[in-house]
Amino acid sequence: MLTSKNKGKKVTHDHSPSQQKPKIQEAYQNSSSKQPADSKVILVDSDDDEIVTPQRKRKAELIESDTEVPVKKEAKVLPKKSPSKPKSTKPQAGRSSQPSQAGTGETAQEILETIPDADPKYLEVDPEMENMNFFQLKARTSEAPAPTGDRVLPEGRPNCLNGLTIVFTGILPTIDRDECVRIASKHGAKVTKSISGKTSLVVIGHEAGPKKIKMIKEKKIKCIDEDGFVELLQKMPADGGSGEAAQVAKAKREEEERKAIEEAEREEEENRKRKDQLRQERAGQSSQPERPSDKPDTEKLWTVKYAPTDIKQICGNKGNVELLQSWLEHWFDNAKTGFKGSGIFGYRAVMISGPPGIGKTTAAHIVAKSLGFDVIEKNASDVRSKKLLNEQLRSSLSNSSVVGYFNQLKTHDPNNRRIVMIMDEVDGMSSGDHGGGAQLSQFCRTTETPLILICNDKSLPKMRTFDKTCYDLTWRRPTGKEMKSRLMTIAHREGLKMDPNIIDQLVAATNNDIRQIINIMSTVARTQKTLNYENSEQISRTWQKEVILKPFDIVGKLLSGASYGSHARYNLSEKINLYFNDMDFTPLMIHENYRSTTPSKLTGCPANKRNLRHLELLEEASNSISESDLVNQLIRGGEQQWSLAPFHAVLSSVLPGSKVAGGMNGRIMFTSWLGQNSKKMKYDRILQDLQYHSSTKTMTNTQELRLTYIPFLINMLSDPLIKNGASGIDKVLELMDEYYLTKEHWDNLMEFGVGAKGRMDQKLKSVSSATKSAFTRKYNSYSHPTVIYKTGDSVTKGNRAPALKPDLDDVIEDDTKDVPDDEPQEEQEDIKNDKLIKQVKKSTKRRK
Amino acid sequence: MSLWADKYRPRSLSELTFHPRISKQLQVMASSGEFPHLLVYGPPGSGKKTRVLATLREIYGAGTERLRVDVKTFSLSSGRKLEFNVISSSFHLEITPSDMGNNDRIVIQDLLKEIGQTESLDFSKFENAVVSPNTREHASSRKKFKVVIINEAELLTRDAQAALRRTMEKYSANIRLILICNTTSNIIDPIKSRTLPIRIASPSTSACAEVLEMILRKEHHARKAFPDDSEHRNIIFKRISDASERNLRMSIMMMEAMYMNHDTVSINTPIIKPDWIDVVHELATSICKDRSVSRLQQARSTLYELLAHAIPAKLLLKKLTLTIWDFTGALDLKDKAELRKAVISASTIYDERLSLGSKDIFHLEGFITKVMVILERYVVIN
Repeated sequence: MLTSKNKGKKVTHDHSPSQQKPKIQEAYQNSSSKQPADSKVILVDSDDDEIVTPQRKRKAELIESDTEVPVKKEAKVLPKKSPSKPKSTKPQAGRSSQPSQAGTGETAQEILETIPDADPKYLEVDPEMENMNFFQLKARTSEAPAPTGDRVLPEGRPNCLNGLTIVFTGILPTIDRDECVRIASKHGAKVTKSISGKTSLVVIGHEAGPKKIKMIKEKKIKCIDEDGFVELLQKMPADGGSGEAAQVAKAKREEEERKAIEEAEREEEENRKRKDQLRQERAGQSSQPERPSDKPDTEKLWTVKYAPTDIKQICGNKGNVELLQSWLEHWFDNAKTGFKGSGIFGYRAVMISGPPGIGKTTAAHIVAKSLGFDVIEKNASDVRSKKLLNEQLRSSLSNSSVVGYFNQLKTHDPNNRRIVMIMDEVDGMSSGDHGGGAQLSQFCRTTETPLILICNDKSLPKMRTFDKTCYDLTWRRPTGKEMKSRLMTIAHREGLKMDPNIIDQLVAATNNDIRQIINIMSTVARTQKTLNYENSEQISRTWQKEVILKPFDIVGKLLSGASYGSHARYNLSEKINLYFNDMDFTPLMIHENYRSTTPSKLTGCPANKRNLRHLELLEEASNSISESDLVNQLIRGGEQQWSLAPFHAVLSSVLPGSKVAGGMNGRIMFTSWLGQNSKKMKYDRILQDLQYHSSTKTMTNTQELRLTYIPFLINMLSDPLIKNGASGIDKVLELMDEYYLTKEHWDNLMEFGVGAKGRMDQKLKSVSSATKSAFTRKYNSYSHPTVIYKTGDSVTKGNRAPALKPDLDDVIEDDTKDVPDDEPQEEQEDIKNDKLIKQVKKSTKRRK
Repeated sequence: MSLWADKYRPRSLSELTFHPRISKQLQVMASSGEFPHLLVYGPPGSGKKTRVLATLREIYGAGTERLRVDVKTFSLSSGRKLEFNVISSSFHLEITPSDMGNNDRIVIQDLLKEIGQTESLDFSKFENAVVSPNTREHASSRKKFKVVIINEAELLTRDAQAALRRTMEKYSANIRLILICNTTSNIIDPIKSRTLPIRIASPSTSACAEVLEMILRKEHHARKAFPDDSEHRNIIFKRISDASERNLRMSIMMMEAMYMNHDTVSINTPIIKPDWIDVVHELATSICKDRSVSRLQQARSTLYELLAHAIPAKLLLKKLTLTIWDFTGALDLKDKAELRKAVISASTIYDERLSLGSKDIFHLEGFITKVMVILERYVVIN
């Protein structure tokens, strides 16, 4: 019902910022009306005395130009904002020039009152749905039309949703739910998934879950629809008005800021003290050269400067850090008892794994330092081959620290003499570090020194050797919440003004990489002194490009309805860039998944034509995918025309995506083409081998062998076994010898059946295992004719008949030799003794 | 116990029953001692190879039947070693360069040159001298050349064919080429002009029946399973040859399978087709009947299964098109002709794409989707 909005809104962009606000509102008022646009609209508007005449005239034109605009009459209900209300408590720079009629003093409650409730039809529970389980419900929602994505949420005032707890449920008619969540949290609202007593309002779409609807009715929670949400965004004053909840939230936020500042001041104080102390110590021995760590802070990287120096400062993974600490603390006690403890206390070594930039190395160092251990670190910059590990590491594992020895004289702490070994970047042990992994894992069993191993990806096959020898600690990415105070502290100390809400945005842009966020901050601080919504959007976008998307994310974006249409989230070049994130996989993944969407283009299609329309969209997509293969051939084939890559991007990914984009039905699947292709290669190879062996007999080519011989051969070679059991063996073996087929060929042949009737695996189950082993035994009991000597795997397979090599003179003769029975060892000898090819045909004779 | 199709393969030209004119020509050619390079083409199961081998036997005698397989090794410029199987007797050799994929040019260049540059020594002179000094004396003079049979010649790359054209002339004193292929459309003109094309058509239904009857006469056990009435037998033979699309090899296989699976064969005994034909047929019918997205999804797994099991994509497309063609022919629609035309036109487009592209599944799916749209549109309109 809100289709006209775009038009209205677009035009308003042309006006100066000071006029923008009322115009947007106007546009929304009009667009949410239900009557066709005609002169009546102007009558409605003329009631609104806020509008200046020239503008109105222009707007009237605008609406008339779009005759299909449905208009609603209740638009008038909107409350008039009185300019006399008090100003926002914290007017933001650049916004103060706005007309003040936006009622800044109202409470959220008051404003919510003015917004019409959601259409009661949303609250009707389909009786069918009540009895559905989770998966049925999910399937149902995926069938529902996806959001059209042709509407863009307006910008509200900063923090205008402060103090509100919002729940989004169901499918909103035009806006993607994720987008709504993003906007809402950007404006300071707390978005939760389930409804509780604290929920201040629910934004509801169709196909909302029956449980949620029940909750809404029970708790009598204010319930608005998408239009209401848009209205709310526009009406809410900055900082969430003067309502109680808003005030509390605001106070909380200010408290947070205050804490950050306090923390920053405390740190600075400590820093100063430490420096003073150092200076005093150094005073006596001023001849000492300056050490690099004494460089002034301004020359250090922020990530070094603000690296945590204390366990308390580590963001996130608190439990793991504590566990690590207590493990290290009790390590030597445990060593005495031979590591009989449970859990982490039963291990000599610990493996820390987790994505980069979340403080694994830092945590390990701090923990060691906090207990007074001396640290030896080895990382990927050191060669860590088996030999070197043996030479260097083994000796140090039973040593004690010299530095610690002298320190101990001062402190008398036994830990000071002790060493902890940190092996960083264990998964970076490359081919150059031959045997290093296994050796390290050996050390983990026997080490006399606590050993902390650090890696990024524990699931790699080469890391499996550590599974049993190390206790596994998985580091998780710290959440935005956990990082917030630390980042605020840093910002304060550097004099950078940072809006707390944007931390979440930076967190999302960097994939929770705290190191990168600090780097971003330090870069920004060079040029500007504030980091807020106006520039964070752009900053996070610039940095986001650094993250290479995984194929699943790329496909998710390319097949999402919000990526296309007049208000697409990405423009064409951005969509092409998505393809370039992984140009090998994207086309394959699109091909795998393009049929599992509910295209948003189907919205509004009459039911009887829906299927046809859907097929037509798929046809356009599949046609484009098919054409893209020809382009791909030009790129990767002999011509190597790589300049066509963007064209391939459009044909293979963007164009098909634009046709079928919409809600995904089910998960995004990984491409099956790779598996199928390697399967095809395997069968081609087997077929070729079969052809080589049987060609002197069948006189045909590979293709005909496959199409004509194989289906019948499968039956003839299996039927006697299936029908007659052991007594059919001779018949099968006779046929196999006739075509020079080995037992391995027999097994391979049985895999060639296709279709429900052709597949042999089920049929062969009826053959008893006694028959099968009798078959194998019988086959091995005598040697079989061969026409071909093939190098390679002929001897390695136990069941295979010995492959026989034709003599150098190409002599073909009958094998008169007695072949030993039934014993594998003798078969081995066979190969050595018997080089002659053996033929059963009578036609063969000796030629010299 | 070999399959009937191999057991009853004719060994000499005189045993061949159908296409008597071609057999006669080959016989004349063989006895003249000289023959040009040959390009033998025709549909599968029409007896191309059988005819060629029979001709060789006519020229060289039974020695051509003593076959062996050698593995030759070729090294590429990159240093990679490739293995290549050659079937040979002392008079001829048989190669399938398309086994080597894109490296087939090397086989043509190295192997053919090697053979072409060596004069073949004629052992048979001594052999014949011992056996019968007089009868075959003049024969030795016409065995100066070796025959090289090139299988699947239509699959040769352009490069390989280009390498072939000069070799054919330069070494014609020592080698004769016989190219065997299903169609000549991929063979470049220079090669066509250097060869004598011989087309071997599929045997007619009656010729097919004749061969089948001949086999039954020799297989006494099987003879008993089939009806005594020659009329009835002919009906069965006709059904078999129709089902096999007059592919004689397939026909014989089908007859043997019928005999193996049924103790008595009557005119109503179902014909046992290769499994993949049934699968393709089922797929095509289901597409025609149920035009929906979920059906497309099922079609993908079927297509993948067929392709993975080495069924050629082009053949799949052809079979699908023909089945859909038959299906639409049986429909009761007013502008049926238009619809069928659209199907064929789509098929030709995707056939070309299969030749040019590399990911078969993309094109087959494109075709299936297109057919669904064509049919659904007609159903919705009518």
